[in-house]
Parts: sequence; C-alpha cells; structure tokens
Amino acid sequence: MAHPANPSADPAPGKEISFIESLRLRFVVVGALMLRELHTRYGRENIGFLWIIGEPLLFCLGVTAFWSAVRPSYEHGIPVPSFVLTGYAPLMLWRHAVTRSVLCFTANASLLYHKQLGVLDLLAARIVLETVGSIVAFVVVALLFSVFDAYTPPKDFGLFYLGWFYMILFSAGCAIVFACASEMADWVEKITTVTGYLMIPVSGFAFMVDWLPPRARVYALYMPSVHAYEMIRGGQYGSSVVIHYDLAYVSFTCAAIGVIGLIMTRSVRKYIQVE
Amino acid sequence: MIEIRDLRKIYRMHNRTQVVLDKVNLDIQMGQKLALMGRNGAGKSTLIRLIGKVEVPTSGTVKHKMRVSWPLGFTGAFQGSLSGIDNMRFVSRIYRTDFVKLRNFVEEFAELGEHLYKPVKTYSSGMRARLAFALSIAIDFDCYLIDEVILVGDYRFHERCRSYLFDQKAGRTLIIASHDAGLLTDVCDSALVLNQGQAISYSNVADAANSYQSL
Repeated sequence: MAHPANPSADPAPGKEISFIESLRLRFVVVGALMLRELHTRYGRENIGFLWIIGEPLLFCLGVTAFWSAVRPSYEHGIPVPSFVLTGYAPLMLWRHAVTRSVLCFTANASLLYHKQLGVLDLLAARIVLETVGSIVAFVVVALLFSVFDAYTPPKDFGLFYLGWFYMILFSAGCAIVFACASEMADWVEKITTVTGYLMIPVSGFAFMVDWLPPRARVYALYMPSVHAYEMIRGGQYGSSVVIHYDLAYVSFTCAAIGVIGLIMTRSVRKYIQVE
Repeated sequence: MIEIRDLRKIYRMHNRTQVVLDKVNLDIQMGQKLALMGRNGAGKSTLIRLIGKVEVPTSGTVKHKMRVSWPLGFTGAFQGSLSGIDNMRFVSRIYRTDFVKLRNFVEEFAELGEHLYKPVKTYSSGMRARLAFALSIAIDFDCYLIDEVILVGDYRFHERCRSYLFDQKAGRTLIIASHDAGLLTDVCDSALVLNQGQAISYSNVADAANSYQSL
C-alpha cells in the first residue's frame, strides 16, 4: 500500500510557526470551511445555491408590485424598486450572517476536533459567504432591474461602497456577538428571529432619516445601520436626496461591537461541549 | 515531544464543581508509547482531548513539538450529513494533503467500499473509527491520540493498524486510553494511571496495570 506523502498544516517539529504561515493557514482553513458550508447547504449536484439570488429577487419584485399597487411609484421623489433593492440586500446580509452564526459552534462541534480550526474560522467562513452572497444577489437583481429601467447605477460610488462597507462591518460584529452569546445563554437563540423582524423597521431599510420628524431623527441615528443606509441611499440617488450620517459615530459603534464580539470569542470555547 | 505543565481541568455542572485533572505534569518523548489507565470517569478521555487541544484547560499548558493527531475515537472529527468522501476532502484541505493520494490510501486501508459515498451519520461506530484511523494514518502524524477504539474491524484491519501504528519500527508516538490491560502491556512502554485527579507515571506497564486493577 503506497503511503501518501504528507506536507500538512502543522509546522515541522520544534519550529515556531511564522505570522505569514499562520495567515496562509487561516486562508486554507476558512476556504475549506466555506466550500464545506456550500456543500452542506446546497448539495453538490444541483443549482440550489442560486437561491441566494432567488430570495431577494422574489422579495424585491413582491414589495415593488405591492407598493406600486397602493402608492405612487415615486415615494418622496425616489423610485420604489431601487429603494427596496438597496434596502433589502444589506438587510439580508445582516439577517443571514446572524442567523447562520447563531449556535454554529454547537452545530459544528465535531469539526473542532481538528486543532487548527478555531471558532473564529467558523464565523469568518459564514460571514464571508453571506457577504459575497448578498453582494452577488444585489448585483444580479440590479442588472435584471436595469434591463427594465427599474434601476440605474449609483450616482456616487464612493459613498455607496462606504455604506456597504459599514453594513458589512455591522453585520459581522453582530454575527460574532450573537454567535458567542447563543452558546452562553439558551434564550439568545430564541430571540434571534424576533430581533430579525425588529430590524425591519429600525435598521433604516424602509425609511430615510430626512423623512422623519426632527425629534425622531436623533433616535433613529443611534442605530449604526441607519448611518450605513443613509450612505448607500446617498450614493445611489446623489443630490436628489438629503442624507444624515456621522462617520465618527458609525465607525466607533461598529468597531466597538466587533471588539466586544472578539473578546467574547476568547471565552466562548468553555461553553462549547465537544461531544 | 509533548510538554504538559500544571494541567488542570475543572468541570462546573449544575453548581457542582468536579476536578477531573489536578496539576498534571508530563513529558512525552518522540516514539514513546504511553498507556492511559483509569476507571470510567477518571479523566482519560479528558486528558486525551486536552492533549489534542480539542478542549481548553482550566489552567496549565500543553505544548506540541511534534505533529499530533486529533483524538481518534468513535465520535467527533466528521460532519455527519456529509459523505465519507466529502469529509475526506475537507480533512485533506485543512491538513494540506493531496486529496487523490489520501482517497486512494483510505479506500484501500479502511475497506469501506460504497459506504464512503454515504453520509457519515449512517456509519456504525466501527466504520467511523476505521475511517478516522485510515485518514489519520494517511496524513501521517508523529503522535497518535487513541481513545478506546483499537478493537474495531476485522483481523486484517487489526494487522494493518499494528504494522502502521503499534510496531516499534513504525516509530510513532502513541497515547492510548483503554481498559484492555493485555493490549496496553503488549503495545506500550510506559503508563499513566489516573485516579481522582492525580496522575501517576509508571515505566513498567504491567506494574501500572496491577495498581490500576487494585483501585
């Protein structure tokens, strides 16, 4: 029986692993986890992964149809389809990143048998996958809409990308915090779905701050994602909309959520029962 | 070598604390074949999982200076809903071994046949252990952590495990937890008896077996 040769993930005996090498190992591990996640979710011999695009497409079509039936197709001077699309794709990113991360350590406890695989790798794989998924979904639906003149490219790509960037940061932070908290206390998993529904009105998905009465604006802007949405819509519609956001505030809150999450990952291992 | 310093593991369950391992110090040399003995619940599996870094110690450290396998046993290491082949693919990626070579070796070694294409959750515990053994032998670690699974499979499988793992000339480091004193005396050259959080080293496995049986 021929024995396979074996360069493997571990360093040579007695050698310290270098930073570059450990970074490479992270890419290998997270990449393998992402491929595995795609397999388990969508199987390997079908086009099930297209549902990443199908879901937002159906949602945007549905809401646009409903909205156009009961309201004028321009609300506050903004076309409805693109408003729904720029709202739903980032919200989907948040919701999927969080729900996929909740209890993901318990679900994948058997993988933690392999010591080169840490809790952050499991989270990184999910967050990257959901980020890529929602961006691809957004692009495909946007292209499809633009064929029917229901979507035009953003006026200010810089601001548009910046808004997406903060939305990704916010979603990643929330996913890490929820994932760790769900391992520490049972009730966290139960409230995840409810939180997802609550996000619909408070996230900034369905309104612009400028439409609110001045007193409500202050409260709306406590929510980091509202700032991200303002940037996305500001980038999308340019000077035809008035936007309100505070770069310092959104940077600070997103970073804070991320840091809290990372601190939690350091102690979460104690709560995970590995068979 | 594996260096274990002041290793301590305490479980907290329902407001009760249980000290499973208390200040264990141990050096395991390259090529050493260490038997872990102790009654059920004495902490054999816990020690193996701590050495394999599957669990985090309450305090103390474990340092690897060689390539240590994951704990080989009836559980863990595989995703039940994926097929044996898909699990193999994942393992080959994270341990950076060539998948085709790995598959050829495992197909021949584990003799799981068509089962390799079925979800791992449909496997018997013996089949699971065979897959784990075949995979870990293919990856070729310096040290194997074995948790009570030696007597799985048929005669041929035993002989293969023997020639790849247990033979002195194979040069592997082994840490084996088992209740089978006969096999441990046969394979191992040193022993560790666990009792009430304490670990006592023996350089003679037969002595260790005697003292374990008198516990």
